[in-house]
Amino acid sequence: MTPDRRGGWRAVFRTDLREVLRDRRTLFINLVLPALLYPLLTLVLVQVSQIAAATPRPPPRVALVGEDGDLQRAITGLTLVPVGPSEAEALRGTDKPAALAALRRLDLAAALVVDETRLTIRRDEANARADQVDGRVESAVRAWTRTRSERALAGSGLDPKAVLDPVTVVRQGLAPPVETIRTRLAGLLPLLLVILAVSGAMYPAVDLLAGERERGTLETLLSLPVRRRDLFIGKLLVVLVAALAAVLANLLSLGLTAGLVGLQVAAGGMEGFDARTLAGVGLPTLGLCLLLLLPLVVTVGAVALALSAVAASAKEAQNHLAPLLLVVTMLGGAAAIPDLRPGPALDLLPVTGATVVLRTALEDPSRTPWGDAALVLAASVATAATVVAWAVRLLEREDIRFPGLVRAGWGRWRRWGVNPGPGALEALGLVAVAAAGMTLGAGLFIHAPPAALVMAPLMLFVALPALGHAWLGAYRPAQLYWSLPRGRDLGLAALLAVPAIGLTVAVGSLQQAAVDPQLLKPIEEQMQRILGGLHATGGLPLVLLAAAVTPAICEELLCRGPVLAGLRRALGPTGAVIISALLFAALHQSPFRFVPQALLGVMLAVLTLRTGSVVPAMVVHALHNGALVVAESLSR
Amino acid sequence: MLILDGLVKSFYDPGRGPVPAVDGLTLTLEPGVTALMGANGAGKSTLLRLITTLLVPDVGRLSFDGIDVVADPEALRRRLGYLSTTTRLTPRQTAREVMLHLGALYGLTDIPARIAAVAEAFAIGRILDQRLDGLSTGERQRVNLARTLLADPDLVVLDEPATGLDLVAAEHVRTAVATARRPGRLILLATHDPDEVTALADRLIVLRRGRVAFDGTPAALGADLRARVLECIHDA
Repeated sequence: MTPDRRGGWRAVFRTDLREVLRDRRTLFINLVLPALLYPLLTLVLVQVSQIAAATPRPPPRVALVGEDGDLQRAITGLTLVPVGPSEAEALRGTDKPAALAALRRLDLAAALVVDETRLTIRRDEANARADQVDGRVESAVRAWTRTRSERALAGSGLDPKAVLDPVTVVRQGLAPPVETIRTRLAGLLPLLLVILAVSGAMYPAVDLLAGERERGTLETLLSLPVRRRDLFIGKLLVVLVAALAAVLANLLSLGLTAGLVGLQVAAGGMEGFDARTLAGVGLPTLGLCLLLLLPLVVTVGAVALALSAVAASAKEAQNHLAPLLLVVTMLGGAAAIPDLRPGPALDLLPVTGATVVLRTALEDPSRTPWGDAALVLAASVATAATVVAWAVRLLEREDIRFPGLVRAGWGRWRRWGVNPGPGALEALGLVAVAAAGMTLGAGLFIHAPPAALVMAPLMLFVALPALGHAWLGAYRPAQLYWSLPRGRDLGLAALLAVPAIGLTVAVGSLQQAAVDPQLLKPIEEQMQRILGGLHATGGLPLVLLAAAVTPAICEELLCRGPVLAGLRRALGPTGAVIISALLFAALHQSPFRFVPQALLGVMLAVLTLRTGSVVPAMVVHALHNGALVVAESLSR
Repeated sequence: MLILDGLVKSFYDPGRGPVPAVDGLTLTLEPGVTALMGANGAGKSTLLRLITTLLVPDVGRLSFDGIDVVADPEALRRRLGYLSTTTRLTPRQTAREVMLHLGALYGLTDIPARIAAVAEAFAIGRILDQRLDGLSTGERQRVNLARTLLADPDLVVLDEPATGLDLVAAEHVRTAVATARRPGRLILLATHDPDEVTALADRLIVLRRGRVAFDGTPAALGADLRARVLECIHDA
């Protein structure tokens, strides 16, 4: 027998695709539901809006206290309710609970209290109609003021129109309505595409591994002469097809529904709603959508399959996948932030980079950022390859193949067997904790003295999680590279510090030269302020302790400790060096220093793997930071 | 020839801690039919999963015709047919589709002829083009046996293939196992049925707590095989 070693994935793909195509639930969720969803939702929305339009709604009830002349006549769209003297007193008084009680007693959304030159709108915010009051009152006040001004000007013999309206503002929209609508949709469409792709990938991913495990067919498959990699890739391709089919079905249904609604709206005399809204972006942009979406779907599909593989049942797999949808939605949702433009740092961020580039391209196809698109594509392909490589290795693991049989527990809760060291998820989790702590928790120290401002967040949110994780995980120091180094390794570290400083300074200067100095100014000023504060408090020793020694110890404990060890176990040494360096750079939260930090991260990770200890990396890191702050101090 | 050398595999038991399911087994198995018996939890299925590369031994070596099973599991899988109570078939495919798929994975060149041969051997010609979720349990198990032998493997591992079947279907499966015998092929059959052992096996190994309690011909245990096996399970 000569197994088809190269084409194993083809056989798996063909069979699994057939299985999925015959599964009515998958077909319904991925194709039928999207085809029906938009027309049905539109129908319901049209019906609801028609019912709402046909239902008479009385204007919000308000009381006018202290005025019964021109203002009263100017108010439209509100029902003015007369109030007695005692109620008027309560509504006008300083006792807020009494005023609120009066509003509610009279079923009022607000009271308009007029005192000489001030009109106070006292609202019951808990009343759903209170929001409608402000705009109507402001219009009335403008009309009222204008009437009074016109009278005063006329009394002075002046032409009120010439004084009050010296310039007439006229608004004219020049862009074709199709383009305007497309610009509005551009913020939403990339996120929609990503969510559709993820939700389209979820059901088949659950079915193809956790579902197979439940049905008993996975054990059969694993005993056949097919490499685990081929098996995973065959299944991943099915997930990919299902996700893209769901995206296409959704887009077709959405496009047809929008087209039909557009025809109705156009028949009603409104311009600008037709099928060109989306098609008008042109083939290159649509091609870019597909190109950027593809690695994204591969990544999400591989993560979904991996989560499905580690689940003991389909139900557990669904529980694992729900947070994935949330994470992807949050990352993709960043594209809806106004004025967020593509840039090198953003391009490297999974999902967000792709959605921001797509939004920019959809807004104006003639200004498609092709350079950023290429960077996003490269980053997405690298991410997809890394995730697929990691997920494939999961199927090699016995505890994944038989989770109920050989799963041993984790860390202090491990029940038996040898503790294999931290994993990639632990590494990523620790970085997430540190990033969240440094972003959100650093605010706690904003009014602290400079030394605490610099050192406390590092100790609390970088070193402490690393130490806590090591304790909970019951890891030996050697498993985290926390062993003591050999003497010659310290010497090597001291030697390496010089080229490290030279390289990061050179690359940093190159990167900063490409950045608008105005953008760097606030960062430099903040740095100067902090260093100045440290100098003033404790001189150069404190500067070195806070800006060189503490970051070196804390950051190395984490980034070259459990993060590097966890990534190495999942990705091997090369992948671990690259990803840990990128995470190290990202933790510094400075896009303008990203490249030099990442390079430093690579050097420190290689040094740690070579020496088996994090201490030489601490030495290089401390010398590197120390040299930079001393140079900064000397230049002051 | 299958050689097991000091094979150990432990699992965690919440009440007892780590428990060796297979405890230092050393055996040499020649072609023919070898039956495995033992109480539930004696280590039969774990042993078969170790042999079929689904589990990896904690300690020990395992080789088949010179192939190091732990180092090169895929080489063994190319010569393996495995059927157990937990190895099922994709429900929304027909028997023919399943076998075409397997034929592609094994790299077979004469798949239609092989399908015709196993269909005749296991009397499934009539149901070849029906979806598996529409077949009876006995019919599905016959298809499962047919797919196990489709690639004419040298090592056939059958873990309680007749469990849960009615009398007629179980008899059908027994006949099928008997037909599967050929020179150079090792069939490992885990079973609880002494009649099955008497009818089919050349050699019987009784396991107790992961160790060999008896190893010899079924005839060596005398006429009342059931009673002697029970003794082995309890007293070894």
